[in-house]
Amino acid sequence: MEETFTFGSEEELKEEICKTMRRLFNRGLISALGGNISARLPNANEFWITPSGVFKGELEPEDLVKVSLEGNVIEGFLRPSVETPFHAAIYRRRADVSAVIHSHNPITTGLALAGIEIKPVTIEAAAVLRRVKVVPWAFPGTERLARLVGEHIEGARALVLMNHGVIGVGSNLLEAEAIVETLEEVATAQFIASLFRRDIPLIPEEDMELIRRLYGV
Amino acid sequence: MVFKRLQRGVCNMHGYMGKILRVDLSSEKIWEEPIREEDARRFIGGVGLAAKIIYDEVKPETPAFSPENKLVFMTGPLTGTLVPCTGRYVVCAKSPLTDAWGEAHSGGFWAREIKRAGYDGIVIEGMAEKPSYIVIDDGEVRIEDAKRIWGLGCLEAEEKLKKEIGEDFKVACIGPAGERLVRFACIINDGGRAAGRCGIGAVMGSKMLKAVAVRGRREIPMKDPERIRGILRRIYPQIMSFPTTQIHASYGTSGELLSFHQYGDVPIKNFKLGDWDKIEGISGEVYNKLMVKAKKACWNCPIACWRYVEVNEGPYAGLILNRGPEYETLTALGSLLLNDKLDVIVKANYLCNQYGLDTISTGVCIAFAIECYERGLISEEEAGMTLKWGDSETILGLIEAIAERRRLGSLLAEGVKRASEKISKGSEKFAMHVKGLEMPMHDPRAFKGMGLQYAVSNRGACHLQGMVLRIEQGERLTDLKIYERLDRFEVKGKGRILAIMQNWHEVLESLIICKFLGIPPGHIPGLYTLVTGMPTSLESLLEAGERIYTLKRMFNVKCGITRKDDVLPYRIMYEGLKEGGTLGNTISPEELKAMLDEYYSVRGWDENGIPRGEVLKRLGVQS
Repeated sequence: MEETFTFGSEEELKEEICKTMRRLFNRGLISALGGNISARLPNANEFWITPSGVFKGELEPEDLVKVSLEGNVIEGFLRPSVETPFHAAIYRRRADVSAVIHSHNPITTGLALAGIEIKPVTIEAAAVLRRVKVVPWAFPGTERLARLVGEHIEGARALVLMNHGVIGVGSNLLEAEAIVETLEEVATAQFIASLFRRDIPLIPEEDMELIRRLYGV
Repeated sequence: MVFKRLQRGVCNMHGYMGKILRVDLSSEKIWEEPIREEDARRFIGGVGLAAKIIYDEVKPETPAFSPENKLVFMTGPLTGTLVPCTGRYVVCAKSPLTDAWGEAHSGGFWAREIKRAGYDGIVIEGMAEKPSYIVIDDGEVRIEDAKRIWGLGCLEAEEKLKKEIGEDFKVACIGPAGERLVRFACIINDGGRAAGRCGIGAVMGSKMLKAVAVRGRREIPMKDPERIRGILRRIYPQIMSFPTTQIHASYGTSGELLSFHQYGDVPIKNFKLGDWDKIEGISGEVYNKLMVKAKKACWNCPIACWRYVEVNEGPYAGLILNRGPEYETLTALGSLLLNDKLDVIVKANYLCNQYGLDTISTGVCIAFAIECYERGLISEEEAGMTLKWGDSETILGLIEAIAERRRLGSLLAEGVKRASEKISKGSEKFAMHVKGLEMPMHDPRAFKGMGLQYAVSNRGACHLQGMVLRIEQGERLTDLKIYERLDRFEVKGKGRILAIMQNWHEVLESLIICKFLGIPPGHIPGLYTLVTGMPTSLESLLEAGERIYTLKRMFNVKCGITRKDDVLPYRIMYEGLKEGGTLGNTISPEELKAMLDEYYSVRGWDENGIPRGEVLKRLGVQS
């Protein structure tokens, strides 16, 4: 049998999803009823996702649901997240993605509602987040939202969902977590700056040019 | 009197007690039958197993009041468990109103007690020689003489019975209306909860059975109670956040009255008016403020939509109703009759509970009588009184006359369909029923999908079998693949939505879970599996729902029901409302035809509304 490198077992993956959920819940980026996380073993055709409607701060591995890339339940007792369709849409399009976090970052979502885009106010904003696109409003859980997310996720690590929250993706859960946290950190800095001055200083253009070349932004 | 000590059964399926109690009142024979695992998988429990029993055992030509008709009380595998809102039972029989499939549902605590006594259900057949009642005392069953309680009101009979045999018994009983075979008599349990529809109480009365008193001490087995408890604790924030749950918790079902009125959905003056300036007087807000003294809940229900009511002033001051009027009763005995007096509604509800009358059918029959009187089709002499809209004497007087089968009351006791056929002279046009079951309090002109639902529902005009108005109000059920928003006045697409919703509601009524629990369908298979230990999926539950719905349709087909019976009252099809939120709308025969065509096609039925052979084969239903 051909040996393949793996990052760990499915059981470890499920444990890690719950730990990530708890960390984001404690940071206020995922609320009692809002937000969901999924992850898969690299290149797997199915993924584990958090259940819908279960208090997010106390999820346990046995609550998670395994679904196929078509969104069909393979294993688990509970109802998978209503946002399973957009998680599946991301995995179908992005072989490099093995973790998806949909969090309810309050400040990032607030800036989007105010029509303010995330700007390169810090190095992380420019280098880590690159350009953060805003997905227009679509009703949660619908195929329409899944289609829009699928279209916008190409070349992106983070998306803002209008009137809804954000999405961060990564090759593993820590990367996706880093994305949604960075997004909120940048949004917070930008928000605070905007309270005191209109023309927020951005990363100087010559440095941006370097970042663009280095990171392909 | 028969006394028989029954064996305690052993059941391998968790959630189920594994046995059905059988009682033949003619021979006074009592026995038990096991529930087969295959039947539990295919029909779940509740209304599903009841449908199987009636389909297999009651010949379609059997008259409703014949000893051969069977009265089937059923609980479900989730009844009485840790899963919230599982205090309900269903009772089924051939209906004396529709001469076809009949079912009624009720909450409270009686259902759980049946399971604690060791049974999943009770099947009663035959007819007792004299008034009787059944006592089920933790697996010990006996038939007793009901002479002392025959003739008493439901609430009085329950009280007296409990004093005699034990306060910890739970009682379901009929009142004088059931004893006198009023065709819309109901069964009352737990001091005011009603299994209201289809005249099931009259079937019980025809068997000379006054009550079933039950007490049990057994545990209801659950496969993984710790896990269920752990999950439910964490699901509660979402369940309680569901919009209608919030309303029902705050005001009871009456909390939606004003919103429904804005749609033009609340029936007024026998479905003749679309707006009424006195509607606020019977709204949930006013009702809760003036009358409600406490909120109560059925077994394991976090919502507590049950309202304990006391009249403070006026001629009925001091009147207490353990279960006060809910939405259907507030409207059937209120707006439908142009009655804006809350105390009169409470008094009328009290009388209906004591006599054992379905408040919906009672209201519709009274509205029909008043309109007949107004049009000169019934004289004052025939009525025995002057009949006036909004008049308390008319309303309370007719309730008593119906229950006691006096004069005009005796004709109305036959139900609005039979009464209109007797009176004739065009009265059929405003006799508000489908297949003989009086219309509930949602005007289908406001939600056309509800029109289709009323037209095809197996028990006749039924607002609960599908509740498609929720989708027409804008609710999405992504788990059931209902993503789209459908305009309430639109016709296209309603057939598909209704079929899905009906199948799902058969699942809920088989498990049995109250429809007010705002739990997404996707969570139900997991909870079922954790209770029963039998793995299942949403798809397989929905297929069982389709099987159950189709089985009931096939029973109706054998009773002679076809497309010709899937109709709506003339008023709904031809008379548009002249005011309110549904101004000018009807469900024309052409629109109904279009909806029926789509519905039959989605269900795989032929153009005459009869399930095709391949559908029956797929579902394993014998024709």
